[in-house]
Amino acid sequence: MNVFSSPVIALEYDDIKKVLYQNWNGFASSIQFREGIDQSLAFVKNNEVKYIVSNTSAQRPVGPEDSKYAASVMPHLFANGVKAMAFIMPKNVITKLALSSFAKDQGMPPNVKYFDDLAEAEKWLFTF
Amino acid sequence: MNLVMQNYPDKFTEESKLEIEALLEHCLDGLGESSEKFLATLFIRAIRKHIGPTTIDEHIYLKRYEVPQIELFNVLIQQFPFVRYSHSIVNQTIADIVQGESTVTILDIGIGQGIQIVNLLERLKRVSGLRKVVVIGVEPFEDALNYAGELINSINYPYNVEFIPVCSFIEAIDFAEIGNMVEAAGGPLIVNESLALHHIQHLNDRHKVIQSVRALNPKAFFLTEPNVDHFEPDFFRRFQNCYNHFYHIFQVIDQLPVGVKEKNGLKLFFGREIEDVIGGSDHERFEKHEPSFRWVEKLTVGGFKMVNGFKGVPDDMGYGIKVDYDAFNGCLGFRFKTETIISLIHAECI
Repeated sequence: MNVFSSPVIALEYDDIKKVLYQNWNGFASSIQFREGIDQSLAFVKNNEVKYIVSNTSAQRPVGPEDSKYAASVMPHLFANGVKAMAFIMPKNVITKLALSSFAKDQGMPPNVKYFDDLAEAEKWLFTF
Repeated sequence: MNLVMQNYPDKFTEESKLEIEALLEHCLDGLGESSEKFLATLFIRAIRKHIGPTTIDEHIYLKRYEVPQIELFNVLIQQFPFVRYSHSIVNQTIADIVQGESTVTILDIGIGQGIQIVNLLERLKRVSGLRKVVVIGVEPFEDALNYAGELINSINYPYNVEFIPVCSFIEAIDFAEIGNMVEAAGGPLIVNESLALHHIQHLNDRHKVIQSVRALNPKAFFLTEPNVDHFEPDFFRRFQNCYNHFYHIFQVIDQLPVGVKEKNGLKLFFGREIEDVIGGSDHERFEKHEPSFRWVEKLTVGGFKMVNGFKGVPDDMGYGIKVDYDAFNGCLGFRFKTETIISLIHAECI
């Protein structure tokens, strides 16, 4: 089920698996990026979401301030029922560098992990 | 680096700035242990004003690698093979040329702090019968020139040494006056320039200087110049030339028998050259290196022929550096892998 879409993100919800998919696409301005994050949180607050897959494979780099903003929202996601979150790594090398650097700085909890493909990510998510 | 090059000078979008920032952040992590990361950081710093402000201040990271200049010069002169051996080969060749002379005049273009000339004067102690050496030292920076004078005068020689300081850029000099000095000094004239002529901004001035040197009728004219085209006006080509050149230099620095601190200090030192080569607009640039064949062309036009009279060329310079005389181009090249880093040219009047 399509929940929200903009030029940079499509939010889809699988109400059987209870997974919210964030499919990021291309370069997002700060406003567009934060809108995608806010829409995700709003959906999580109002629906039963156990898992989130953030597919960043087609995403372009995100600025450090916006990355921090996304990180600040994560505790709220978990407080509203999300058990685990998986990121699908970007294909763009530089975006990957940025994401790795972000992960290193923030320190990831055990229920957040990076994957190269969706199948692997889902397999891991459903262990929670 | 392709990303940086593609967007220069005014196509840096918010997206590309973020990409460069991500690249810079990646490079700064482990900067001191990776030549490639160090080089990429220096290149990004060099064109920083075109990229605009980002959240990362690489200067703070780079500052920790600064080494006092005096220590750097010691490493450059004693350990950096391109400087050490170019000085040594040219000096030994000059000493060989002036064998049997009682008076010699040396015109040192860009004498700097006098390091090479003092080593030459030391070597000339072994020339039997030498009674007088006149050194005409040309240098635009007065402090360096004064230092050179003090250094020359602080040493005892078995012959008389007269030092004539000339504080000027070589292209602004009155060569008629130099001619008078040479004539008054007597003996054969040897002209040496090491890493100086590439500072002349305009091609016609380079030609004029070489022709003016030719008019002095020297017995030999030695040039030591980096073999890279940074005169190239096209930014993208110059960027590639610059990256390739310093990439190879950094590979050699990594092998030097000095500490990590000194190695990174040297890289930072060369970062200033990178900044000049790719950071400044064409009229602001100072480090306008030209490949050796172009210097040879100018010398040929000016009335010189190239000769292979180099003495003291080591069989093995270490660090994987090959030294070969390129008969086609008329120069002795110090080559590391595919890049001839620096060339020595020995020219005589036709």
